[in-house]
Amino acid sequence: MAQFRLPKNARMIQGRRHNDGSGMQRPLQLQIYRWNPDDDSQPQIDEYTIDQATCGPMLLDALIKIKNEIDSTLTFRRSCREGICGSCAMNIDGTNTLACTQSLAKLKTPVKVYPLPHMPVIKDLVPDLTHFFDQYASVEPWLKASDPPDGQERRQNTENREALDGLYECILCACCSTSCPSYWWNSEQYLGPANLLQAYRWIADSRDEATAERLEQLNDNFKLYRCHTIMNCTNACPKGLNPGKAIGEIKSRISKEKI
Amino acid sequence: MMAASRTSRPASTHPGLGHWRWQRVSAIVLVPLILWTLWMMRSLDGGSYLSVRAWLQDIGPKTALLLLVPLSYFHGALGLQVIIEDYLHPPLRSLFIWLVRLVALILSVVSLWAVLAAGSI
Repeated sequence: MAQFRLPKNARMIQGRRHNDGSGMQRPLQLQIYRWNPDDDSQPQIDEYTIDQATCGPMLLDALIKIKNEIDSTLTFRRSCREGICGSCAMNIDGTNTLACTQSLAKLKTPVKVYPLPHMPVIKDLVPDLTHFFDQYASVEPWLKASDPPDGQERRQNTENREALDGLYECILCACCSTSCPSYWWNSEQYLGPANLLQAYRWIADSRDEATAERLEQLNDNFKLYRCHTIMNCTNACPKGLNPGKAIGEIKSRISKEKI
Repeated sequence: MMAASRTSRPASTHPGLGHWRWQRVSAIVLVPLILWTLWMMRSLDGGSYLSVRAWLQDIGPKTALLLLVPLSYFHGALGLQVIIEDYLHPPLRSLFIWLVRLVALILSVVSLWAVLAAGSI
C-alpha cells in the first residue's frame, strides 16, 4: 500500500545544543544531522556554535573545528580539503556541494548541514555510496583499445583532447546524482548524472574503440532515459561541470547511431 | 568480472531510443498540425450541431482531425508512460503502461469513427 509518512529513521527530531555563542567574536551556528547506527534513536539535529574569528574559511574547517574542540563523535568524510577528492560532499543549506570549497562567508547563521539526500546513511554525514560505485563500475570506466600501432603510445590531436574537457574533471563526489529526482526515484536502475557523465567521458575519448558497445549498453529506458533534463545535476556540480549536457550528448549519439 | 556480468545483461530488454525518438517526432509533427487545425477552425461555427457536421465534411478539417486525433493520443500515451515508469514499480508498472496504451487505442478508434461518421453526410 501507499506509504504517506516517512519511515522512522528518516524523520528527524530536535537534538542537543552543544554550546552557545557567548564570548565569541563572530559566532556561527551549525545545525548538523546526527545519526548513530549503534543506538535505536531517530536522526537528530544537533546545534553547535563556532567562532569564525578562530576558524578557517571553509565549511570543512568549521566541521573539523567542531570535531576537535566541541564534539569528537561528529562523523564525516574528508581528505584533500581542496575540492579534488570528492570525499566531503554533503548537503549544505539545501544544496549538495563540497564542504571544503563552501566558503563560510557565503553562509548565514544557522547553517544546516545534512548528508547527501536519498542515500542510506552509515553515520552522521557519511552516506553509503556502495551502489553508486557499483554503477560506476558497470559503465566500465577504462580505456578499451587494442595495442597502438607503433607499440608505444596512442596519439590524440588537440581537438580530440579538447573533447574530454568538462568530462575528465569529474571527481565522483555524487553531488549531482543525489540532487537528481530521477535518481531518487529510480536509482536501482537509472545510472544517474555522475555515472552517465563518466560513461560519456569514455564515449567521447578518441582513443577508445568500444564506443558502439558502450552506446548499446546505455540504450535503455531506465539506465539512461530516466533523465528528464531537470538539470539539478548541472546546478549542483561543485566542479562546474555539465552532466545534463553529457547525457544529452549520449542520447544524441545513440540517435545518430541508429537512424 | 562482476562488472562485466552486470553490463552484459541484454540492454534490449528496455530499449530507450524508440520511445525517446517517437516522443520527439510526434511532438514536432503535432505543433504544425495543431496550428493548422486551429486555422481551419476559423470557419467553424460552433453554434449548431449541423454546422459542425457541415464543417467536418470539408476535406481540410476532416484530414486535420483524422491526423491530429490518433497522433495526440499516441503522444499522450508516450508521455504518460514516462510518468508511470518514474513513479510506479513492477508489477504495477507494466500493467498501467498497457492500460494506458489500450485506452489510447480505444479512444483513437472511437474518435476516428466519430469524425468519419459525423462528417459523412
